[in-house]
Amino acid sequence: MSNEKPIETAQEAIEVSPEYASMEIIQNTLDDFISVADVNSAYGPPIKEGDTLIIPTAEVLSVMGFGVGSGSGSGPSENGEGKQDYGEGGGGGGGGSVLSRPVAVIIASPDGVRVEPIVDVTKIALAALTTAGFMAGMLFKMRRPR
Amino acid sequence: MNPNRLNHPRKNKMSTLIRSETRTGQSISTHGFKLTPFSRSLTLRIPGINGGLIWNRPASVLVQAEDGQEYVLPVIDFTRQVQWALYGLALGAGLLFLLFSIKNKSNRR
Repeated sequence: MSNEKPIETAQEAIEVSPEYASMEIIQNTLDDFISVADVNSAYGPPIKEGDTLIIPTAEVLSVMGFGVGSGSGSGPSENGEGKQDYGEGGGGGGGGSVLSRPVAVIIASPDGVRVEPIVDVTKIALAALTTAGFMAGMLFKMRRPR
Repeated sequence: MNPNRLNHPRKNKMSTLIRSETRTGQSISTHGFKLTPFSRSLTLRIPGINGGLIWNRPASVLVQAEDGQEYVLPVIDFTRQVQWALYGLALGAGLLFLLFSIKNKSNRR
Protein backbone atom coordinates (compact mmCIF):
# COMPACT_ATOMS: atom_id res chain seq x y z
CA MET A 1 0.00 0.00 0.00
CA SER A 2 1.30 3.45 -0.95
CA ASN A 3 1.75 6.16 1.67
CA GLU A 4 1.91 8.88 -0.99
CA LYS A 5 -0.07 12.02 -0.25
CA PRO A 6 -2.65 13.01 -2.94
CA ILE A 7 -1.68 15.97 -5.11
CA GLU A 8 -3.77 18.99 -4.16
CA THR A 9 -2.34 21.94 -6.10
CA ALA A 10 -1.04 22.59 -9.63
CA GLN A 11 2.36 23.53 -8.14
CA GLU A 12 2.62 20.09 -6.54
CA ALA A 13 1.68 18.51 -9.86
CA ILE A 14 4.40 20.50 -11.70
CA GLU A 15 6.96 19.29 -9.17
CA VAL A 16 5.91 15.68 -9.71
CA SER A 17 5.48 15.66 -13.49
CA PRO A 18 5.00 18.42 -16.12
CA GLU A 19 2.59 16.15 -18.04
CA TYR A 20 0.28 15.80 -15.08
CA ALA A 21 0.56 19.55 -14.50
CA SER A 22 -0.82 20.12 -18.02
CA MET A 23 -3.66 17.73 -17.24
CA GLU A 24 -4.32 19.64 -14.04
CA ILE A 25 -4.61 22.91 -15.97
CA ILE A 26 -6.97 21.25 -18.46
CA GLN A 27 -9.10 19.84 -15.67
CA ASN A 28 -9.38 23.30 -14.11
CA THR A 29 -10.35 24.82 -17.47
CA LEU A 30 -12.95 22.10 -17.96
CA ASP A 31 -14.39 22.81 -14.54
CA ASP A 32 -14.78 26.46 -15.57
CA PHE A 33 -16.38 25.30 -18.84
CA ILE A 34 -18.88 23.14 -16.97
CA SER A 35 -19.90 26.14 -14.89
CA VAL A 36 -21.47 27.49 -18.14
CA ALA A 37 -24.40 25.16 -17.36
CA ASP A 38 -25.37 27.56 -14.58
CA VAL A 39 -28.82 29.16 -14.64
CA ASN A 40 -27.22 32.64 -14.93
CA SER A 41 -26.02 31.87 -18.45
CA ALA A 42 -29.63 31.23 -19.61
CA TYR A 43 -31.11 34.30 -17.86
CA GLY A 44 -29.63 37.74 -18.31
CA PRO A 45 -29.54 40.49 -15.69
CA PRO A 46 -32.95 42.20 -15.17
CA ILE A 47 -33.43 45.50 -16.98
CA LYS A 48 -35.70 48.09 -15.37
CA GLU A 49 -37.54 50.36 -17.81
CA GLY A 50 -39.97 52.65 -16.01
CA ASP A 51 -42.52 50.45 -14.27
CA THR A 52 -41.52 47.36 -16.25
CA LEU A 53 -38.86 44.81 -15.45
CA ILE A 54 -37.47 42.87 -18.40
CA ILE A 55 -35.47 39.65 -18.03
CA PRO A 56 -33.85 38.40 -21.26
CA THR A 57 -33.43 34.65 -21.75
CA ALA A 58 -31.09 32.85 -24.11
CA GLU A 59 -30.14 29.36 -25.17
CA VAL A 60 -26.41 28.72 -24.78
CA LEU A 61 -24.47 25.98 -26.53
CA SER A 62 -20.85 25.56 -25.56
CA VAL A 63 -18.41 23.09 -27.11
CA MET A 64 -14.82 22.61 -26.02
CA GLY A 65 -11.95 20.20 -26.62
CA PHE A 66 -8.36 19.82 -25.48
CA GLY A 67 -5.37 17.69 -26.25
CA VAL A 68 -1.98 17.32 -24.68
CA GLY A 69 1.13 15.28 -25.34
CA SER A 70 4.71 14.92 -24.25
CA GLY A 71 7.73 12.86 -25.03
CA SER A 72 11.36 12.32 -24.25
CA GLY A 73 14.35 10.74 -25.87
CA SER A 74 18.10 10.36 -25.80
CA GLY A 75 20.83 10.17 -28.41
CA PRO A 76 24.57 10.41 -28.90
CA SER A 77 25.99 13.75 -27.84
CA GLU A 78 27.28 16.18 -30.52
CA ASN A 79 30.43 16.62 -28.48
CA GLY A 80 31.11 12.95 -28.93
CA GLU A 81 33.11 11.11 -26.33
CA GLY A 82 30.38 8.47 -26.11
CA LYS A 83 28.10 10.70 -24.03
CA GLN A 84 24.33 10.59 -24.34
CA ASP A 85 22.10 13.69 -24.64
CA TYR A 86 18.66 13.55 -23.13
CA GLY A 87 15.71 15.75 -24.01
CA GLU A 88 12.04 16.02 -23.32
CA GLY A 89 9.17 18.18 -24.48
CA GLY A 90 5.47 18.54 -24.48
CA GLY A 91 2.65 20.52 -25.94
CA GLY A 92 -1.03 20.93 -26.00
CA GLY A 93 -3.83 22.69 -27.73
CA GLY A 94 -7.50 23.21 -27.59
CA GLY A 95 -10.44 24.94 -29.07
CA GLY A 96 -14.00 25.77 -28.34
CA SER A 97 -17.04 27.70 -29.34
CA VAL A 98 -19.95 29.29 -27.53
CA LEU A 99 -23.20 29.94 -29.38
CA SER A 100 -25.94 31.98 -27.83
CA ARG A 101 -29.41 32.73 -29.18
CA PRO A 102 -32.15 34.84 -27.57
CA VAL A 103 -35.27 32.78 -26.84
CA ALA A 104 -37.74 35.03 -25.04
CA VAL A 105 -38.11 37.94 -22.65
CA ILE A 106 -39.93 37.84 -19.33
CA ILE A 107 -41.87 41.04 -18.78
CA ALA A 108 -43.03 41.92 -15.27
CA SER A 109 -45.26 45.00 -14.96
CA PRO A 110 -47.91 46.09 -12.45
CA ASP A 111 -50.45 44.31 -14.74
CA GLY A 112 -48.75 40.93 -14.33
CA VAL A 113 -45.98 38.73 -15.60
CA ARG A 114 -45.80 37.40 -19.15
CA VAL A 115 -43.31 35.68 -21.43
CA GLU A 116 -42.87 37.13 -24.92
CA PRO A 117 -41.09 34.86 -27.43
CA ILE A 118 -38.36 36.27 -29.67
CA VAL A 119 -38.98 35.19 -33.26
CA ASP A 120 -35.90 34.72 -35.43
CA VAL A 121 -37.36 35.42 -38.87
CA THR A 122 -34.11 34.54 -40.69
CA LYS A 123 -33.96 31.05 -39.16
CA ILE A 124 -37.64 30.42 -39.91
CA ALA A 125 -37.24 31.69 -43.50
CA LEU A 126 -34.21 29.41 -44.02
CA ALA A 127 -36.15 26.40 -42.67
CA ALA A 128 -39.13 27.27 -44.90
CA LEU A 129 -36.86 27.56 -47.96
CA THR A 130 -35.21 24.21 -47.17
CA THR A 131 -38.64 22.56 -46.80
CA ALA A 132 -39.94 24.16 -50.00
CA GLY A 133 -36.80 23.13 -51.91
CA PHE A 134 -37.01 19.56 -50.65
CA MET A 135 -40.71 19.29 -51.55
CA ALA A 136 -40.15 20.84 -55.00
CA GLY A 137 -37.30 18.39 -55.63
CA MET A 138 -39.46 15.41 -54.67
CA LEU A 139 -42.33 16.66 -56.85
CA PHE A 140 -39.97 17.17 -59.79
CA LYS A 141 -38.55 13.67 -59.34
CA MET A 142 -42.05 12.16 -59.27
CA ARG A 143 -43.25 13.94 -62.43
CA ARG A 144 -40.11 13.31 -64.47
CA PRO A 145 -40.83 10.69 -67.16
CA ARG A 146 -38.60 7.58 -67.00
CA MET B 1 5.01 8.38 -10.05
CA ASN B 2 1.78 6.77 -9.04
CA PRO B 3 -1.00 8.17 -11.29
CA ASN B 4 -3.58 7.26 -8.64
CA ARG B 5 -2.28 10.19 -6.67
CA LEU B 6 -4.22 12.43 -9.05
CA ASN B 7 -7.55 10.90 -8.03
CA HIS B 8 -9.34 14.07 -7.02
CA PRO B 9 -13.01 14.01 -5.97
CA ARG B 10 -13.57 16.18 -9.08
CA LYS B 11 -12.69 13.24 -11.35
CA ASN B 12 -16.02 11.53 -10.54
CA LYS B 13 -17.91 14.62 -11.63
CA MET B 14 -15.97 14.80 -14.90
CA SER B 15 -16.47 11.16 -15.79
CA THR B 16 -20.26 11.48 -16.21
CA LEU B 17 -21.03 11.03 -19.91
CA ILE B 18 -24.50 12.54 -20.25
CA ARG B 19 -26.12 14.59 -17.56
CA SER B 20 -29.42 16.44 -17.70
CA GLU B 21 -30.20 18.89 -14.93
CA THR B 22 -32.83 21.45 -14.01
CA ARG B 23 -31.34 24.34 -12.09
CA THR B 24 -33.02 27.07 -10.07
CA GLY B 25 -31.86 30.67 -10.19
CA GLN B 26 -32.06 33.43 -7.65
CA SER B 27 -35.58 34.81 -7.09
CA ILE B 28 -36.39 38.37 -8.16
CA SER B 29 -39.14 40.34 -6.43
CA THR B 30 -40.99 43.04 -8.38
CA HIS B 31 -44.49 44.59 -8.33
CA GLY B 32 -45.63 42.13 -5.66
CA PHE B 33 -44.47 39.12 -7.65
CA LYS B 34 -41.63 36.78 -6.84
CA LEU B 35 -40.06 35.32 -9.98
CA THR B 36 -37.92 32.18 -9.77
CA PRO B 37 -36.21 31.17 -13.03
CA PHE B 38 -35.48 27.55 -13.96
CA SER B 39 -33.04 26.40 -16.60
CA ARG B 40 -32.43 22.98 -18.10
CA SER B 41 -28.95 21.93 -19.10
CA LEU B 42 -27.57 18.95 -20.97
CA THR B 43 -23.91 18.10 -20.47
CA LEU B 44 -22.21 15.64 -22.79
CA ARG B 45 -18.69 14.33 -22.35
CA ILE B 46 -16.91 12.04 -24.78
CA PRO B 47 -14.76 9.40 -23.04
CA GLY B 48 -11.06 9.68 -23.77
CA ILE B 49 -11.34 13.27 -24.94
CA ASN B 50 -10.76 16.26 -22.70
CA GLY B 51 -13.75 18.23 -23.76
CA GLY B 52 -17.47 18.19 -24.12
CA LEU B 53 -20.67 19.99 -24.90
CA ILE B 54 -23.08 21.96 -22.75
CA TRP B 55 -26.52 22.97 -23.92
CA ASN B 56 -28.24 25.29 -21.49
CA ARG B 57 -31.69 26.74 -22.10
CA PRO B 58 -34.36 28.55 -20.10
CA ALA B 59 -37.18 26.22 -19.00
CA SER B 60 -39.77 28.15 -17.02
CA VAL B 61 -40.45 30.84 -14.45
CA LEU B 62 -42.33 30.25 -11.21
CA VAL B 63 -44.46 33.29 -10.38
CA GLN B 64 -45.58 33.71 -6.77
CA ALA B 65 -48.04 36.55 -6.19
CA GLU B 66 -48.47 38.35 -2.85
CA ASP B 67 -51.96 36.84 -2.43
CA GLY B 68 -50.41 33.36 -2.40
CA GLN B 69 -51.31 32.51 -5.98
CA GLU B 70 -48.65 30.47 -7.77
CA TYR B 71 -48.25 29.64 -11.43
CA VAL B 72 -45.56 28.48 -13.81
CA LEU B 73 -44.87 30.31 -17.06
CA PRO B 74 -43.07 28.08 -19.57
CA VAL B 75 -40.38 29.77 -21.67
CA ILE B 76 -41.28 28.58 -25.15
CA ASP B 77 -38.72 28.65 -27.95
CA PHE B 78 -41.06 29.70 -30.75
CA THR B 79 -38.35 29.77 -33.44
CA ARG B 80 -37.25 26.20 -32.62
CA GLN B 81 -40.87 24.95 -32.64
CA VAL B 82 -41.54 26.45 -36.09
CA GLN B 83 -38.25 25.03 -37.39
CA TRP B 84 -39.13 21.51 -36.19
CA ALA B 85 -42.66 21.82 -37.60
CA LEU B 86 -41.27 22.76 -41.02
CA TYR B 87 -38.70 19.94 -41.00
CA GLY B 88 -41.46 17.54 -39.91
CA LEU B 89 -43.59 18.75 -42.80
CA ALA B 90 -40.70 18.11 -45.23
CA LEU B 91 -40.18 14.62 -43.83
CA GLY B 92 -43.91 13.82 -43.95
CA ALA B 93 -44.19 15.09 -47.51
CA GLY B 94 -41.11 13.09 -48.50
CA LEU B 95 -42.61 9.88 -47.10
CA LEU B 96 -45.91 10.63 -48.85
CA PHE B 97 -44.13 11.17 -52.18
CA LEU B 98 -42.22 7.93 -51.67
CA LEU B 99 -45.41 5.95 -50.96
CA PHE B 100 -47.10 7.57 -53.95
CA SER B 101 -44.23 6.70 -56.30
CA ILE B 102 -44.17 3.05 -55.06
CA LYS B 103 -47.93 2.81 -55.67
CA ASN B 104 -47.56 4.30 -59.18
CA LYS B 105 -44.82 1.81 -60.03
CA SER B 106 -46.91 -1.18 -58.93
CA ASN B 107 -49.94 0.13 -60.91
CA ARG B 108 -47.84 0.37 -64.10
CA ARG B 109 -46.81 -3.26 -63.78
